[in-house]
Amino acid sequence: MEIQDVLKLMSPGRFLPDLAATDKAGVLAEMVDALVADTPLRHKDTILEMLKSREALSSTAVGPGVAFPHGRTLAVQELFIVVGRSRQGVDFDSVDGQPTHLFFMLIAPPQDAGSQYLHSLAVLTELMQDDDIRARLLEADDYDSFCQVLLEAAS
Amino acid sequence: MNRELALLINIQNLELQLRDAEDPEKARQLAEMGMPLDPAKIRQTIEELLQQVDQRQRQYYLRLRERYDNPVVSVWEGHCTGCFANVPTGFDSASNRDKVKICETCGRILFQP
Repeated sequence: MEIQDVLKLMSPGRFLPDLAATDKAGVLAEMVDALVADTPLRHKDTILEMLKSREALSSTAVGPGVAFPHGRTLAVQELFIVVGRSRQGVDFDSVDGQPTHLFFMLIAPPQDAGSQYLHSLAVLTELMQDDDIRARLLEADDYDSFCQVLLEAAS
Repeated sequence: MNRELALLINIQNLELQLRDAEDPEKARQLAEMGMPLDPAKIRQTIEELLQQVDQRQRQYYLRLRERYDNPVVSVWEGHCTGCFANVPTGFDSASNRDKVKICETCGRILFQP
């Protein structure tokens, strides 16, 4: 899977450049709200509960400064990605104890043919290891600029 | 949503995580990404959630789990996605919405996404 395939799972309506939330629960809720608002999905609580259960097992803020809340649920029929950004940073129980600024939320259906969501996670986690890319994503002016940084990073 | 159905869906979601954690290739991928899953911890969480489910529903779910990987399935375009049988119209009517409903053909618990 390439970054181009991952970008197809994102959308401007699911891009939150300035998260209002200041804690972990708030970030998850705000991002799921955006997902439900941008799609025909209607079971917000089911998705949120799945994400909370996953985070309770171990934090997905594997850093540095990036979290990947994710999981599979009956509430969706296809894979969706929601992107959030917090310039001030949020305590997301990160493994390094540092605030989290970038959030890539992946919500997949139970069957997830071809492990699409694991492959998408792999593409994003690899790109996010680069300090320069993370810095540029934090500064990107809008959704198109954000996607352009990801495309350039992968080329 | 019906509380029992919400719990059962959450349990099944965790069972999907457990399957990933126990699949050597997926477990390796998750560990490489810095997100390893502990199967014992997932099993414990599933057990704790199961104890919150009404006894009759719990026993029904556990019986289904012996037969199917997916005891709870979504309804898609009027069909049970477990066995593809038609689901009666009115399944998702307002009067039915707060009940746990099952597929009349395969017995799986149904969820309208």
